[in-house]
Formats: sequence, C-alpha cells, structure tokens
Amino acid sequence: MYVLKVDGVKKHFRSDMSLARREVLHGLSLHAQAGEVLGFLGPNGAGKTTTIKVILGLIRADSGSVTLFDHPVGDERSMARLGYLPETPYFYPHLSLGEFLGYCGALSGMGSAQLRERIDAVVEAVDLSAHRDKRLKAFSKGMLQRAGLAQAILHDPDLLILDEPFSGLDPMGRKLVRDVLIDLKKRGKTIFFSSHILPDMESLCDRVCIIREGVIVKCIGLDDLRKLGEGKVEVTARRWRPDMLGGIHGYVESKRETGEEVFLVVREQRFVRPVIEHLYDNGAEVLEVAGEHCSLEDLFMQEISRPGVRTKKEKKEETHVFTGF
Amino acid sequence: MHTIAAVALNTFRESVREKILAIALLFGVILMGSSVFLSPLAVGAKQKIVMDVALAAISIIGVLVAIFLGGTLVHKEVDRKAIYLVLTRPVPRHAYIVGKLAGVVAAVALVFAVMTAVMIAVIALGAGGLRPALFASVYLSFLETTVICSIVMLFSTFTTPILTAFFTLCLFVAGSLSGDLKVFASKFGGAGMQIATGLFYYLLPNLKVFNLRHEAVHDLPFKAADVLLATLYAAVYSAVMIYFACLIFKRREFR
Amino acid sequence: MKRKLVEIAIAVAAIVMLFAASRAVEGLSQRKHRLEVLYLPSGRFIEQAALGYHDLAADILWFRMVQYYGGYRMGENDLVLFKHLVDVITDLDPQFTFAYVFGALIIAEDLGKFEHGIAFLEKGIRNNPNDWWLPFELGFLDYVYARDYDKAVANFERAAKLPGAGLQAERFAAFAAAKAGHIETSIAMWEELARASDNRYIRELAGRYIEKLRAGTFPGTVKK
Repeated sequence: MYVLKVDGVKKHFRSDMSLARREVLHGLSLHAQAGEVLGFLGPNGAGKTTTIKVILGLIRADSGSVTLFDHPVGDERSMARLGYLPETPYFYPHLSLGEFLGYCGALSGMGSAQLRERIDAVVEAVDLSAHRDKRLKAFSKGMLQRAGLAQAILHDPDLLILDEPFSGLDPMGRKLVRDVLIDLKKRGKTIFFSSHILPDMESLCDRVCIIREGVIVKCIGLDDLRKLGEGKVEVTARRWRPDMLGGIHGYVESKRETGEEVFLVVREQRFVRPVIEHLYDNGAEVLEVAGEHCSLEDLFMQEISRPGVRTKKEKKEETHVFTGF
Repeated sequence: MHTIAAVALNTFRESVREKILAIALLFGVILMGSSVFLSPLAVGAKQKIVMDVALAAISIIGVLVAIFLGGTLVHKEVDRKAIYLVLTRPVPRHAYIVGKLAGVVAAVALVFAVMTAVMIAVIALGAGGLRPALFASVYLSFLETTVICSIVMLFSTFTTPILTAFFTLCLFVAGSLSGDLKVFASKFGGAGMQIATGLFYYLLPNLKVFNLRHEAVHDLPFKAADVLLATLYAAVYSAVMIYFACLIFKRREFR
Repeated sequence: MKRKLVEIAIAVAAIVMLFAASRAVEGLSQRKHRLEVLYLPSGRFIEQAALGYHDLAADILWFRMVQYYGGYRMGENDLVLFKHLVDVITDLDPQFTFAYVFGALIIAEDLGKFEHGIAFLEKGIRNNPNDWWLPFELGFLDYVYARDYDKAVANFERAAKLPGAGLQAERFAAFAAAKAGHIETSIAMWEELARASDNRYIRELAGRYIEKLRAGTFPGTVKK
C-alpha cells in the first residue's frame, strides 16, 4: 500500500519583479510504501523543498496529483497522521519547550492526559528533558532541531516528512536522531526525508530517490545499490609506474593515482591474483585488497555530473515519470 | 473549535510576552500620569484634561498595539517556519485566522483593562468623578480597536508588516474622516463622484460611531441603543474583514 | 587607553556642540512657535486633522492659550490673537464651558471688546443651553460693564432656573433687582466671584477691580 503518492507534479513560480516564469518541478513522480524509509537527495536548488511543500499542501501544484493515505493533499484525515519537520526552524521564541509541545499537541487534537504522557516521552527521546521549561529563544540550533523532531513525532504519526533532520546537529545529536528514526522504522512508520549527509541516508533508508532540475533521475533500493559494486575488488599498491598498466589493462576497470600510490578497481574476483602477481613482478608493493561496493555518494555524483538532465526539447515536453524499481 | 482556542491561546501568550506590549503600556501609564502633573497649568480645565488624555491614550495606544501585534504575528510565524507546524496539522486555514484574531483581541483587551485601571486611579487622583459614560467610551474604543485588528489581519495575510501598518493607518485616518468625505462630495462632486464617495463611505470603517469621548468628558447623556448598534456594527465589519482574510489565506502559498 | 580617552573627549565635545546648536536655533523656534498661533487655522480644519481626538486638540490649544495670555501679562506679546484662539478651542470642544467664561472675561476686560465678549458667551449658551454658569457670566458682564440691569436680572434669573445653579444666581438676581447700579453691589459681586473661583487669574482680576471701585477709579462702563 502506498502511503505517499506523487504523480506527474509540475510547478512553476513567477519571479516577483519581472513576472518571468520559472519551472521548478517538471512532472515529478515518487511513491512511498507503508513502513518504508525513503531518502530524498539532490543538489541545492533541485526542487527538494518545493516537492516536500507540494506534498504538505503548503504549495499548490500546477498539475499532477498528490495523495497521502489515499486522501488528496490537505485532507484533515491525512494531516492527522502526518508529522513534519521543516528545514532550520526557529519556531516560537517566547514559548517554553513544554508550552510549544502542548500547543502542537492541542493542534493535533490530543487530549490533555495523553498529551502530558507523550510530551514526557518525546522530550526524553530527544534528550531535552532538562530544558523543558526553558524558552525556545535560549535554545541552540541543535536543540531547536531536536525540539522540531519532538513536535513531529509527538502525535505518533504514521508518516514522517523530515526536511534535513540532521541539520545543525553535532555527532551526538545526529546519533540521537538516527536512533529515533531507527526506532520509528522498527515500529513500522513511514519516513520520507531529505538530507545532504549521505552516510546517514545509506544506513537508514530502504530506498533513495535522486532529484535533479525538478525531475527524479534515479530511484534505487539500497540493496540494489550495494549489488551494483558487487564482485569488484579494490587493490591499493605502492611504487607504481604508469607503464605497469599495460600488462593488466584488461583486468582493471578504473584506476586512481596519487603520486607513487595507485588504487586499482579490478573487474572480477578471478582477476585479482594475476593483477597482484604482475604488480610484484614489476617492483610494486601491494598494500591492501578490499571488496568494492558502490556508495550512495558515487551514485549521486554520477547522476548529477551527467550532462543536462533535460535537453531543450525535453524541457518543452512536459512529462517525465519515474517510479523507481 | 478547539483548534481555534489553541491558536488563540498561543497567540495571546506570544503577544503578552512581546516587549513592545509592556513598552506601550508603560508609555500609556506615563502619559496619563503626566496629565495629572501638568493639569495645574491647565487653569480651570484640570479635570477635563486628565479625562481627555486618559481616554485618548487608551484609544491611541490600543490602535497602535493592534497594528503592531496583528501586523507582525503572522509574518513572524511565516518567517520562523512555525506556521508550517500549524498548517501541516489538521487545522483548517480559517481556524488559524480566526484563532489569531481572537488571540490578538484578547491581548488588546488586557491592555485596555490595565489602562482602564490606571485611568480610574488617575481620575480619582485628579478629584474627578467616575461616570458610566467613561466606561462606555472605553468599551467603544475597544470595539474600534477590534475592528482595526480585523483590518490588520486582512492585510497581514498577504503583505509585509510595514505595508500592513501603512494601509491600516490610512484606513484609520480615512475612517475617522469618512463623514467629511461624504459631505464634501455632496457639496462639490458630480454624480459619478458622489457614487464613488458613497461606495467608499460605506466600505470604510465608520469610526465616528465608536467615539464617545466627548460625552464621557462632559458627562453628557448617551443612548444605550447607540452603544448596542455600535457593537453590532463592529461585529459585522470585523466578521466581513475576517471572511476575506480567510479567503485570501486559503489561497496563499508558502514558498 | 589613549583611544578610549579620545573617544570620551569627542563624546563630550559632541554633547556640548549639541547644546550649542539647540541654543542657536532657540530664537528661530520661538518665532515659529508664535507664528503657529498667528497662522492657527479654523476650528473646522483642526477638527478634521484631529481625527476624532478633537477634545484633546482643544486641550493642547488651551495650554497654548494659557501660555499666550501669560506672555501678555508678562509684557511679551499682545492679545490680538486671543479671540481666535478661544474661538478655535470652543469650535473643537463646544462643551468646554470654562473656555467661554474665561474667554469672555478676557475679551471684555483685557481686549476691551465688550460686545464680542457677550457674543462669545452667547455662542457658549447656544452650545450648552443647560449650563447655568454661562448665563450667569452673561448677567455679570451686563451688570458690571454694560450697567444694563434689566438684562443682568434676566440673565441671572435664567441661570437660577438651570440645574446646579444653587443659591448664587438667585442672590445676584436679587442684588441686581434691589440695588441696581450701586457700587457696593458691584464690589460684592466681584468678591463673590473671587471667592467662588479656584482660578488664580480671575481672583487677581477681581482683586484689581475691587481696588479700583473702592478708589473710584474704575475705567467706566461700556456704552449700551
């Protein structure tokens, strides 16, 4: 069952002064299944925040459809099951954390007894128990981020939409947020989040969608991502000379030289021995042999460094649908 | 309903913790207090001056507080992204606007209450008499401020705090002069001018109906029916402003 | 340390310069202040500009009037604009009773324009038909300046019938009727006025007239 369905969404903005039309989303589509952790990745200005705002009903799409729990966007039934954390929030400076969460809970329709219990629980979960009565204006950036997460999970929503949840956090804060998300995942919650911190995304997500120039260019499961690099082996060697490549050219997929050292990616497991023997025979010294896997960073860099996602012709055509694997 | 109450309570809490509220109150108290000290210079008009200053201070400061609070609150929430937390919850947009208005009006009511208490003390010090017309005048000033609040909310749904303050002040001035506008048009204008001014006259807030200061100071009689009519007018005018505010806010996007 | 001393020295010099500059423009400001009274627009215009706070505007002008009259008493200015000032004040606040009383007295006495004083009081009576003080003052002026005893009696009686008049107006009506035109009656009226008033200027005015009446040097009546 799809908890979140975005189909063919287009959005343009008009620049304030010149009224010039700027297309931001070009028929974007993505789906999130129940219980899935879906990562959302893209360079700055790609349309991540706009996509999230369209999903939340803060911006109206020009065309296409968005449904949450099979209800159209803005429906109160779906809003009640949704938790949202905006990017670098400031919230209400004059409220204490307790008052702030009380307000959020009241808006979600929580009763006072339930609210009290939940506030205790979430404040504990984000490690802000000691600051419950402190006003938010005294909070650091990291503390505000955690307070934001607290309000997002307060009403135990089924779908969490988090825009840069790790932003502004120190390593301890990041671990804390990661632990919270892992716990939510175990409890079957659906999480859709954007982040620039790829290792966290790799460790948390079931699937990742990459957006570029208002279009989803790749949607891949993390298992499938790992398989992309399977079978390859990375060999690190010292006292390398470029002329050594001649004898092992057919076995090596790629190389990276730094001074006297070289990192060779060997195509297949069975080619490792001849490569090592060749290196030793020519006076090089093998330092390390390790299994190669394709990282999210590699995939990301590969996707965004491709020339122009959309040609001029494609930009005139208005549909690009990608629902992933 | 409970979401309107929650938004109203939060808005009230935010408003009373704003420094500007305390500063405005302090200013009002100083103004009223200074009229007691300056009144000996008034030569025979001491009581009148103390009452005039008190009633004018309550009215003017009420309007200024309404413009400041109402004009900045929505904008600040958008700026701080706090509004996203509200609008991504099961809160209809109209409930947010109505709740905001209720919260601001409640904060303004608090200002009025404090300043009225100071007025009572100041008039007692000035050896003047408290009279029903004084309280009726304060009540009508409060209604006037409520109308101003609703106008401020309307502008704040689509423009910046500075422009909101500017437009509201323009309407305040125009609303105070609207009767003169109509008289002017009837004497000098052609048919087209008269229709246009007629339309303006009815659209602008007629603030004269909320002015009982003269009667209060001179202990002149006033009709309870007039106060009731002014109350109904304020309710209808504010409701219309808020309706349009809700319509605009419903369509607003948050880029 | 040296830098801090320099900053303090410049700050002190700046404040001294500020005071010097304010002193330099003081004369200009005072001239403009006097001109503002000279060019004071009509009450109707100020009422519109006052945006519903016309009582307060009247009070501000009242303060101006007090300073203006005080300046006259100190010999700093004449009283040419006095009538216009009190006219504007009473246009802004037609129920400002004391403005009519004080204004009429000064117009009649200091400006020597008895008829204008009477007319000013009549304006007050039109705007405040139930205020006893205004016809009472009218009777006073009729008796003391115009020596028109019939009119004085009529006005005192008119005042006596209005709420809040007390016995004062009746006594004066009786005085005027019984001892029409007598100097003692005039002195008694001035003494009563001084006793009843908490206004310093009126008490001083009354004191001066009592002296003149006793010395027989009262300037004379205004012709009917």
